Amino acid sequence: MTERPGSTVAARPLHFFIVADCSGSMASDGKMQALNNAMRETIPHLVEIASLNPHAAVMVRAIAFSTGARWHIEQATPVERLVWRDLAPEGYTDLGAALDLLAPQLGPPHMEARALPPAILLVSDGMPTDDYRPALARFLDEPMGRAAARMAVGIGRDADLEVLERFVSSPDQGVFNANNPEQLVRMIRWASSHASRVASTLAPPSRAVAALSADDVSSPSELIW
Amino acid sequence: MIVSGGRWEATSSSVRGSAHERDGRPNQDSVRVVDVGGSAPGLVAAVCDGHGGDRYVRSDVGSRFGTEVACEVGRRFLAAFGDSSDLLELGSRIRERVVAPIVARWGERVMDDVMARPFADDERTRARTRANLDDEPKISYGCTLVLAIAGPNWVALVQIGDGDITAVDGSQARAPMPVDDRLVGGETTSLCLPTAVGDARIEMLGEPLPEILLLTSDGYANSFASPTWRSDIATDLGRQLDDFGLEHAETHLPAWLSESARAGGDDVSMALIRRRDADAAPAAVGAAMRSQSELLVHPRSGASISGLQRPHRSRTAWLAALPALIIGLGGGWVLGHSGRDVTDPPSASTALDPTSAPETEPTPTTVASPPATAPSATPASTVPVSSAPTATDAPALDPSGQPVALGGTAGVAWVLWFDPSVPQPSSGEVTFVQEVRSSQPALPLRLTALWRFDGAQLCFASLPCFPAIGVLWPGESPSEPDLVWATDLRVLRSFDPASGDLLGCAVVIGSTNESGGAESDPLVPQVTTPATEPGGDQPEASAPENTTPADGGPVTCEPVPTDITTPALITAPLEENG
Repeated sequence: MTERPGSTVAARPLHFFIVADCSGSMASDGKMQALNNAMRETIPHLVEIASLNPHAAVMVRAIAFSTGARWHIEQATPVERLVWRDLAPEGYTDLGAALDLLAPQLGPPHMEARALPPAILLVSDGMPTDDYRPALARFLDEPMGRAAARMAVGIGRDADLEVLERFVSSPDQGVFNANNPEQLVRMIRWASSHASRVASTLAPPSRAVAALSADDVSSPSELIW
Repeated sequence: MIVSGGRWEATSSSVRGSAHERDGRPNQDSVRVVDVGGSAPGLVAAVCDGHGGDRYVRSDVGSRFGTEVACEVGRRFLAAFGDSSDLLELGSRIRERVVAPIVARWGERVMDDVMARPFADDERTRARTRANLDDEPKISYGCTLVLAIAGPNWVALVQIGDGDITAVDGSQARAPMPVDDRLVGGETTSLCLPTAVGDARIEMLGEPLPEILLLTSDGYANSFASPTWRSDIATDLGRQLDDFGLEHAETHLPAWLSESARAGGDDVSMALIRRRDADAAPAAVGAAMRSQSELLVHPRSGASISGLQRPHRSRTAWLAALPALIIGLGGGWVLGHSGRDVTDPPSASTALDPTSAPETEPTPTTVASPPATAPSATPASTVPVSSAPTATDAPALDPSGQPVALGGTAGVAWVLWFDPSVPQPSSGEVTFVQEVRSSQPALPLRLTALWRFDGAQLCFASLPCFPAIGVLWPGESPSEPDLVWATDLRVLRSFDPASGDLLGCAVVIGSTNESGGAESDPLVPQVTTPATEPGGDQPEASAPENTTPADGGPVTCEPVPTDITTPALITAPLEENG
């Protein structure tokens, strides 16, 4: 008998969280639609990354925040089966509420003991309208919150990049500012892919994040946010 | 290869993880098993897991050093103490005689390697850190440690960082090690950290000894979909070993581990230890051992005794420049949350549980931070009695020629002082004088160890760190009741280790290293008449005036009479109180 002792072995869960600003300002200039489009275009790239890292089972969840926060994708969904449902804008920008919804998900029973540190992408076009700092502190108090590969994309010139820098793993290289829809698509795709790639490498997030290419940054567009 | 020693036999294997294969990293795990002969034969097995982040460019080398050093130290310990059956006594020695030497010698191996092979440019690039690798070379070699020393009638288990030890009896499996709840989110303690000795978890197993012991790197546990992997393993592995023997496991172990390495991505290593006389009747000594350990780890006075037997989790105030924990995702998770998978009836083991604390001991702050982030300072929790001087009251210590410790058993006094002939700004030679009991001629035995001050701690290369406000020094004679001594260099106190009661105290008066006379040793402190503890009885002799400078400067020490070797000076207050 050569059967391996023990139960089933399996890839380690890698939870990828999208935390998306759905405030009223996202309705202007097509920003919300651009974000939805960007997520749809990003999913195939996440699937590709997952296939290149078979030891990591990428599971996607999403939080939408406006006035308060709510689950947009509550059940952890394998990225291969993910179908993006459009976000809709209205209300304020309660980032603190989003972080308070996210933080408890980073420990048991919601996150498996064997899970890889999660990847988290925060997308916002403005300043938080609630007192987000205590919630951010609670989030970073969670070991998996600190260990997570955290990226952020600011949309438009009104995005509060300083707030986003407080959230990301590497403040000098983890925040991107998209000024048009094409840039947003590329940045969302790149940030999502990078976060997932880093989180799946069995190593802590590198402080030296590889930079976006010039093409990713300078995308000509008639629409400027 | 199967290694046999005494009642034990073992096999081992290590496989590189699929993620490491893809990104070109080496296998950063190491596993080693050695046999020990002599009058108390047995085995020593060690598994080390090198940290996986960019910073740890030589953690594969570090893990190899770790298993080599651990097996060497474990072998010596087994050879020296294999005949002993006193679990409590053995357990009290592990941190000093096993953990500290492993950490010290591992550090020496690292430094020798760095000297012989300076960091190359490509390593500095790969490290992706602004820090200079040469400033803290040990970090680049960082790894965890899981160690088992298996003797004729006991097993000593030591663990620093993540990884797992599983004990199997029949179809039941358990996790004998105390949980370190700091090890979450990929963060781990490490051999490379200054807190390594204190961070070690220790467990002694007595009869009945487990039938099977598994030492694994955390890649193994993380590969299983079910959190109850231990009980699953117990059932299958126990049956296979019974039916086909250890040779079968030796043949197939690499393939078994490869499945885990492929699925989970991480390096996977295992030392599989099996007791050859699994059907033999065990000796029933567990209950006595357990009750003694409960007394020892829950003294009324608090940290003065238990501090020797628990990781020095609170003593991290001096880590301002270094992370207290390292993110070592070469492993990832430990089972800090899942704990024990299967509840077994308690076996004979001396639980040295870092998570339990006596009621009077302040709970240390958990420090868990990623690299390059200074951990929060934690309070020292070493004040043995509530009326004792606190850390803030302790005088500033002069490391250039100052006695720093007194201790001993009844009848034996130990004095520890610095050797001023080797003055160094931040480290030097510490000279120990061990005065033999008064019935024999005084035979001062000078031992040396590298030391350094770090904030409120006095740290040695080969011994546990001591808080500078107090030194804990249990006696080494198992045949007579040990006393525990503590001093802040102003007052020497002794405690009953069983009850934690304060037995006596005396004022310590000393001098600086300026000689007080040709015939006297200026460095040896003088213990004089007893002082009065607040609220205590007044002794007949009035206490001498404390010579501590009002500005908190160094305690001065006067020459000590040669009859310090007699117990009279130190134990006189004990007789008055006893």
